[in-house]
Amino acid sequence: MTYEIVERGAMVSGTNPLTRERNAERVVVEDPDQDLVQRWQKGDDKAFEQLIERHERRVYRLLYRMMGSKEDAEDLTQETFLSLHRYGHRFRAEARFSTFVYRVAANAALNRRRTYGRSRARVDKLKHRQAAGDDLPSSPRNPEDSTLGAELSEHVRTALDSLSPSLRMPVVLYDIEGLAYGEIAKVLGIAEGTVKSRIHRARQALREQLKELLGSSTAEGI
Amino acid sequence: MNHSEVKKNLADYLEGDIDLGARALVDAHLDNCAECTQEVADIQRTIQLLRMLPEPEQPSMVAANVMRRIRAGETEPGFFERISRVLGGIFEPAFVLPASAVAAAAFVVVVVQEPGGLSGLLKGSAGLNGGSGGIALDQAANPLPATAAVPTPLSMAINGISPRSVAGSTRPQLSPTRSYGAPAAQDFLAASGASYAPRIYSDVGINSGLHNVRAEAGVRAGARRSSARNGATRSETRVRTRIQVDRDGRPIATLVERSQGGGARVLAPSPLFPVRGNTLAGGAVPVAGSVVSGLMAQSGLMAQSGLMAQSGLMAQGLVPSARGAGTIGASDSSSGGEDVRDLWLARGLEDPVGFATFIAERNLAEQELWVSRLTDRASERGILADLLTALRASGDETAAWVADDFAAERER
Repeated sequence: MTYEIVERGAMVSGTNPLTRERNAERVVVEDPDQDLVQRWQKGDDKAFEQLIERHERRVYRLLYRMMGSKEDAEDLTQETFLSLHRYGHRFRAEARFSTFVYRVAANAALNRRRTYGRSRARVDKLKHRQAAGDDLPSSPRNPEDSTLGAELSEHVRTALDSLSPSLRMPVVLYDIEGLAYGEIAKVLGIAEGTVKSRIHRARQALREQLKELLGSSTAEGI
Repeated sequence: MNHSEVKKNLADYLEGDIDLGARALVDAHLDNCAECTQEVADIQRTIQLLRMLPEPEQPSMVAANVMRRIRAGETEPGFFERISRVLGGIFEPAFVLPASAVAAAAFVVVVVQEPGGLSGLLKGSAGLNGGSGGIALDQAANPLPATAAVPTPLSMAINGISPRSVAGSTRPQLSPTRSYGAPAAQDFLAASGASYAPRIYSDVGINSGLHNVRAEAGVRAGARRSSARNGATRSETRVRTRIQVDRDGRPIATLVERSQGGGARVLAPSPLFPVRGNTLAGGAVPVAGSVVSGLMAQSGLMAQSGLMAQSGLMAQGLVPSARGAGTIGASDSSSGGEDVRDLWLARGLEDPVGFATFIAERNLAEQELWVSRLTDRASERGILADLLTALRASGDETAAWVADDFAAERER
């Protein structure tokens, strides 16, 4: 049996309601994908299909947050699983399979963003439109937008999109996807301390971007 | 706990990753500091907004589409993948490596054949010159051959060397110490031996399967001397300057290889893999980007090499220069005289925004390595504070957070 140490933990008592419990202590858990991975590595493609179904949602979500486009996210989701299938025989179960999947997806996103020329033209364009006030929908575009409200969502997405990939990836993985520092460090191949500092820096940058919104959101009770 | 200490602890405070004593101190400060209280509240709301982002609508049929593409053979191993599987893990899969660690490489090759002049040149005198900011050539350590054959018109055309200036006693004389920049490239070839028949060649290969791009271009100078006729043993020294670039054509490092009699050594590699100690008896030779640039410009290789021209490799001036190294001092006994990290640090001091942008464009794992290696080196040389100041004073956002990374690394 393969076990892995992951970071989990008990709720830390404190005044901060947002305090995460996941970084408090370490427990040993079994990789829930282990059986499927073993079957797939022995040539059972049905098992691989099940692995896709198990992970496609979170992969797509991460890629959507990173790319900001449904088309890119869907395309990269497929590419991620194709890469896994192509090179997955090298997965050695030294980390959880889900971490491995995230890593492949993260690299796919970072590579794709590079091919987009690193230019911030797209972001600048969004900012320009935002400044002109013509990018805000008057009503939710689809039901998914109703969680936060279309306008708020658009602002937050734009702010997120303005972050460099090196800041955005950790904050998406932590604050949206809910991964622990240790797992993010494995996904991105950087030290936990760096993960932590980048998350903090990203939040500071977002706070700056959302300054006006944060003021009004208080009034709205968010 | 004062204001700045609280700011430093806010991240841990927000995560609850702080002991009770420290938490009480932060709480006490927050009771009396409106600014910090506002900051905590803003960040908490920011996190809340992130968490409340709506779940994107999931595309349908992902698994079915992927399986269809798999059945269509899209994931069948290609030629290189099959080779790598046979070799059993010698090659890492591309997605496991940091993207730009699977680096493309552009090569600029200068091959010089001569009996002793070049080796003497390299062994005896080449090195960083802190005073003048260049790699010095010492004429005394590089005696020119007494006789000289006449170079071909092609070689002269390529190198811009007049027949009169090359042949015999009219060969241009090197000053005892001179800048080893682009203008010196002609002299480099001229002084290395008397007879050359330089040939320009370039080779660009792309292996998209492994994300490798390889480009090779250079000037090859081969002897026209009739060594076979007079029975002399040919002694060949090759110097290869390799500019390593990432897959987007951006230079990562300059490497120098010198080989004699079939052996090859790699010198002055990327700061990610610093060489400790000399691998060449005569000394490591960081070659200035301007040398390569000069050679390429003179020989028209810039236009010939699509990759290099496209990437604007030389135009960007991202190859660290020997001049930069001279700025921060030349020698270091612990690394055998030169350390390529010095070149990058010099670049950081000279062009903090470009330096920071270059680092920021690496992937996360590589950023970490760069910062770690360069922080170590900057600390050794006592210039870390200068580097931080330069980065922060640039007013550039990227430079500021790269400076933060360096500062964090120093603290660690």
